Formats: sequence, C-alpha cells, structure tokens
Amino acid sequence: MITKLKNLALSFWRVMSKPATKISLGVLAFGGFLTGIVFWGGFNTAMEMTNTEQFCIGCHEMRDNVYVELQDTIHYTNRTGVRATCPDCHVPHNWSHKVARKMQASKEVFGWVFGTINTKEKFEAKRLELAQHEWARFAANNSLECRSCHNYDSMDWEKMSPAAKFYMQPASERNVGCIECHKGIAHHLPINDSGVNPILAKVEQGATSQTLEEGKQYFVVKPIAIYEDEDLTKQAGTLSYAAPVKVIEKKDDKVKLQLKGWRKDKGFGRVYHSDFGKNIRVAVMEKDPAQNPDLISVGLSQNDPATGLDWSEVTVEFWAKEGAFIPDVATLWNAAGEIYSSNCSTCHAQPDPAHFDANSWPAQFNGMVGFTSMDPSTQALVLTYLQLHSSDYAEGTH
Amino acid sequence: MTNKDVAERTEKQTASSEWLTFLVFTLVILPGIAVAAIGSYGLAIWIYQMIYGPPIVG
Ligand code: HEC
Ligand code: HEC
Ligand code: HEC
Ligand code: HEC
Ligand code: HEC
Repeated sequence: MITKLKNLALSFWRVMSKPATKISLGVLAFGGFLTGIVFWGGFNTAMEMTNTEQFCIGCHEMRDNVYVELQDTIHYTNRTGVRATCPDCHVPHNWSHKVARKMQASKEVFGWVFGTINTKEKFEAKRLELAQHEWARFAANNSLECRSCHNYDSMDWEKMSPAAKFYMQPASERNVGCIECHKGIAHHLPINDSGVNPILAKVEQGATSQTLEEGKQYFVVKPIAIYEDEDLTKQAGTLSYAAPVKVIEKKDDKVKLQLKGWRKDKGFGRVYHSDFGKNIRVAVMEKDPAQNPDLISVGLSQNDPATGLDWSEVTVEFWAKEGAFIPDVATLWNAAGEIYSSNCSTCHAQPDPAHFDANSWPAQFNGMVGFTSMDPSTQALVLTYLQLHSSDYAEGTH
Repeated sequence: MTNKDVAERTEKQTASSEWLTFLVFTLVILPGIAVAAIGSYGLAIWIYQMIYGPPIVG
C-alpha cells in the first residue's frame, strides 16, 4: 500500500518536474487561468452563501430562537425597507476578519454536532454566555458592525426623540459604541427565571464546596441567617453581602464566626456597617440579640461630624453554616461589576463607581434601580459593590 | 514490435499521463492548497485576535 502510494507520487513528480511534451503551453496556461477563475468564483460564492440569513437559519438553533425574536424588531421591518440580516451584525465585513470569523464558526459546528443549544431550555441556559461573547466582541471593536450602517456623523439630532438626543449627542462626542446602550436591539435579553442571577449563581456554587479553616478570614457570598447557638436554633440576625468574617471555631459543617462592624448609637443599634460613618451594611441583628452583651462587645463611641451621630465599633460572635463563604472577595466583586455594567449601561454609560462617595450611592442607586430588572437581593449586592468601590475607597481619589 | 510502435506507445502514455497529472494538479491539489492556505490565514488571524483583541473603529 505504502509503496504503491510512493510510486504514484514519484510518477506524479516525474511528470510534473519535466516540461510538458504533448500539451501545448497555450493549453496549459489557458487551463490554469480558467480553473483559477472558476476557483476564485466558487470560493467567493461559498463565502457569500455562508454569509446569508438563509444559511444561518438553516440550523434550527439559530432559527427557532434568535431569528423569531428578530422578526419583531425594527431591523426586520421598518419604514425604510432596509434589512439588517444576521451576518450584517455578526460577521465582520473586512475580508481577512471574515475569514477568521468563518474559522471561528468551527465552534458553532461543534456546538451543533454535540447539541450544546439544541433545545429551548439549553439555549436559554446558555444564552447569557453567548450574549456576553457578542457584547465583548462589540465592545472590543466599538460596535463596528452597527456602524457599517449607522454613523454618528450622519445623525440629525434635531430629528431625534428628545431622549435619544439627550443621551446620544454626548455619547457621539466620546465616540461611545452603540452596544453600550443598545443591548437587546435584535433579540430578547437573557432572562433568569431561576430567580438567582446566573452570574451570582456561579459564585454561590463555588462557595458551597469551600471548606473553612479556623483563624482565617472569609466573605459571605449571599445573605444568610446567623445564630446565637451552635445548634442553629436561635437566630441572631442576617449577614449582608460580602460581610467579612473570621472563623473562630469549627464543628462539623457549622462554624463560629466573628464580625467587626460599626453601629449608630441612636436607636436599637440593629444595623451594623462596615466602617465608621459609612452606611454600608454588613449585618442586621434581631432586636434582642442586638442588646445581648454576651454576644456583642461594644467599643468606644465616636462622633461623626458629618452627621452629628455617634458611632461605636462592635464585635459580634455567632454561629452559621458552612457553604456560603469564599476566601477572596474579588470573585464576588467581579460578578457584581458585571451585573452592574450590564444593567446600568442600557440608557447611559454606567457611572464610574468612584464618581460618588459611599453615602451618596444609595440615593443615586435607588433612584435608578427601578429602571432595571434586578431582583432585590441582587440590588443589595450591587449597591454594596458600588459603595465599597466609591470615591471613599478607590485608589487615587479622595 | 518495431521502434516506431514503441515510440508511439510511449508518446500515448506521456500524453495521457500529462493530462491526468495536469488535471489532478489544477483541479484537486491547487484548490486544496489554496483553501488550506486561506484557512490557516483565517486561523492565524483568529489566534491573533484572541491574543491582541479584535479590530477597533477609531
Ligand atoms: C451548523 C448550524 C449553525 C449555523 C449554520 C449557524 N449557527 Fe450560529 N450557532 C450554532 C450553535 C450550535 C451555536 C452555539 C455554540 C456554542 O454552544 O458555543 C451558535 C452560536 C452563535 C452565536 C453566539 C456566538 C458565540 O461566540 O458564542 C452567534 C452570534 C451566531 N451563532 C450567529 C450565527 C450567524 C450570523 C450565522 C450565519 C452566518 C450562524 N450563526 C450560522 C449553530 C449554527
Ligand atoms: C444593515 C444595516 C444595519 C445594521 C448593520 C444595523 N442597523 Fe440599526 N437600523 C437600520 C435600519 C435600516 C433602521 C431603521 C431606520 C428606520 O426606518 O427608521 C435601524 C434602526 C435602528 C435603531 C432605531 C430603533 C427605533 O426603535 O427607532 C437603533 C437603536 C439601531 N438601529 C441600533 C443598531 C445597533 C445597536 C446595531 C448594531 C448591533 C445596528 N443598529 C445595526 C440598519 C442597520
Ligand atoms: C449613551 C447611550 C447611547 C449610545 C452610546 C448610543 N445610543 Fe442610540 N439611543 C440612546 C437612547 C437613550 C435612545 C432613545 C431610546 C428611546 O427613545 O427609547 C437612543 C435612540 C437611538 C435611535 C432612534 C432615534 C430616535 O429618533 O428615536 C437610533 C437610530 C440609535 N439610537 C442608534 C444608535 C447607534 C447607531 C449608536 C452607535 C453609533 C447609538 N445609538 C449609540 C442611547 C444611546
Ligand atoms: C441589528 C443587529 C443584529 C441582527 C440583525 C442580528 N443580531 Fe444576533 N445579536 C445582536 C446583538 C447586539 C447581540 C448581543 C446580545 C443582545 O444584546 O441581545 C446578539 C446576540 C446573538 C446571539 C447570542 C444569543 C443571544 O440571544 O444573545 C445569537 C445566537 C445571535 N445573535 C444570532 C443571530 C442570528 C441567527 C441572526 C439572524 C436571524 C441575528 N443574530 C441577527 C445583534 C444582531
Ligand atoms: C431606563 C433608562 C435608565 C437606566 C436603565 C438607568 N438609568 Fe441612570 N439615568 C437615566 C436618566 C434618564 C438620567 C438623567 C435624568 C435624571 O437625572 O433624572 C439618569 C441619571 C443617572 C445618574 C445621575 C448622573 C449624575 O451625574 O447626576 C446616575 C448616577 C445614574 N443614572 C445611575 C444609574 C445606575 C446606577 C443605574 C443601574 C441601576 C442606572 N442609572 C440605570 C436613565 C437610566
């Protein structure tokens, strides 16, 4: 077999390496020229064929979900009759980058063969991830594909709706990419019907397998109940997102934890804050435990000149269950930052967290959060994230 | 067999093997190489973009 192939190659080479004796130079040149044309034509036809909507929706994965949704949008039918098809938005227009995108599509063929999104449920479950790939692509190329049809320079602000002018004229001066504000322009945005934000669910998932060690510091990844006793029967209060705790003692899957915080002397002192004078929640105590000196040691009182209120440092010890703590709070902040930018950048570029101080963020945030689809517990996380990355904490600003 | 017969036969053989070689080369091998070259070019750009990020409008 191998010798046969070798002989074939050898005789092929023998003919190839000698000048042709029986076919005229003219015929050879013409034949080469002709096949060249046919090849190039065929190649480009293939490129174009795979660059049509018909081709994209040939896969039911593409047709049954995103295509159906596109049909309800302005890019499918509009008063000008100009259509944006799938490749207009998703495939680079420059030849080299188009070829690269076609190679990338090997991932899609792979997904198709192995059915990564072959049911509605699988698609919705994976949608956020896919959408994030697209957002990242548009963010990195500053919405290049949108701009092959739309152009800031050609926009007549006076003809636009007041809201559009209000937001887009300043954005055009900074050349902000369209996707920063126009997510979900062609398809439904990813939804989360599990109730838990999928980005957060991943962090919480990671925390369930984290074993705690005595003497180390951890951060809580979701609000959890805390207890006075090690049998977890008498609830002492609730920890808030990212509350920093130290493990004092461990018994099976239960841990005794220590939390340091600040409380206002006025009132029942049930709410603990992360720092002196900052309204950043770390825990909310039940009424009786909040006054129990066996649980809580209270430090010296200090006056906050900004508000005239007295604050005291408190140290509280309590029991909780393992499985909701992580050693590195950055994981939680990355998730919160992602949620923040995807929710708060739909109408305007998201404000820099360091644009406000920790005590101004709650009012700013609460005035806006109604515009978003964040659930209340995610709201609490994002607010804490903003406060702890506000001008009070950001490096360089103060 | 005369010398002339032999010459004719080799000539026929040469002609058909030349045609076969020509056709295989232009219709199969060269297009194959071209597609492979464009494909690896695309792959190279993809890898480049994975490292340095996609193109940007100014
Ligand atoms: C062979 C069937 C098939 C065809 C044809 C197809 N797709 Fe897909 N596409 C898929 C599958 C499967 C996935 C999910 C891949 C995964 O699981 O990562 C996908 C994912 C995507 C994504 C998400 C990208 C990402 O990086 O995660 C986009 C955008 C997309 N397709 C657009 C298109 C466009 C535009 C076309 C037409 C040029 C097209 N698709 C043609 C099957 C197909
Ligand atoms: C193939 C060209 C094309 C591409 C690519 C394209 N658009 Fe459009 N877009 C249009 C047309 C045409 C209209 C409708 C104009 C009309 O009739 O009012 C439109 C309308 C819009 C509108 C107005 C919506 C409304 O309700 O009035 C927005 C916003 C928009 N496009 C954003 C985008 C974004 C963001 C992208 C990139 C993801 C994009 N477009 C890509 C052609 C395109
Ligand atoms: C800073 C945020 C922001 C950016 C960036 C942005 N837009 Fe808009 N755009 C808006 C808002 C807000 C509206 C008004 C939406 C509404 O009225 O529902 C709007 C409306 C529009 C409209 C409809 C105009 C009208 O008369 O109502 C078009 C078309 C449009 N945008 C296209 C684009 C394109 C194309 C880009 C990128 C080149 C872009 N936008 C970038 C915020 C933005
Ligand atoms: C007007 C531009 C535009 C057109 C036309 C368009 N898309 Fe998209 N597509 C987007 C944007 C922007 C995203 C990013 C997610 C988002 O914001 O909704 C996206 C996301 C996707 C995704 C990832 C999953 C998701 O829902 O986020 C797939 C798959 C996809 N598009 C396929 C297609 C296919 C197939 C077509 C043609 C039937 C098409 N797109 C037409 C702009 C477009
Ligand atoms: C539906 C559109 C929309 C969404 C979504 C939205 N905003 Fe706004 N935002 C506005 C409008 C409109 C204004 C300006 C009008 C005003 O000041 O009341 C504004 C103004 C602001 C300001 C004031 C800017 C300043 O310098 O005074 C802040 C801060 C802000 N938004 C933060 C957020 C945050 C945080 C989120 C996410 C929770 C968010 N926005 C989501 C529409 C939106």
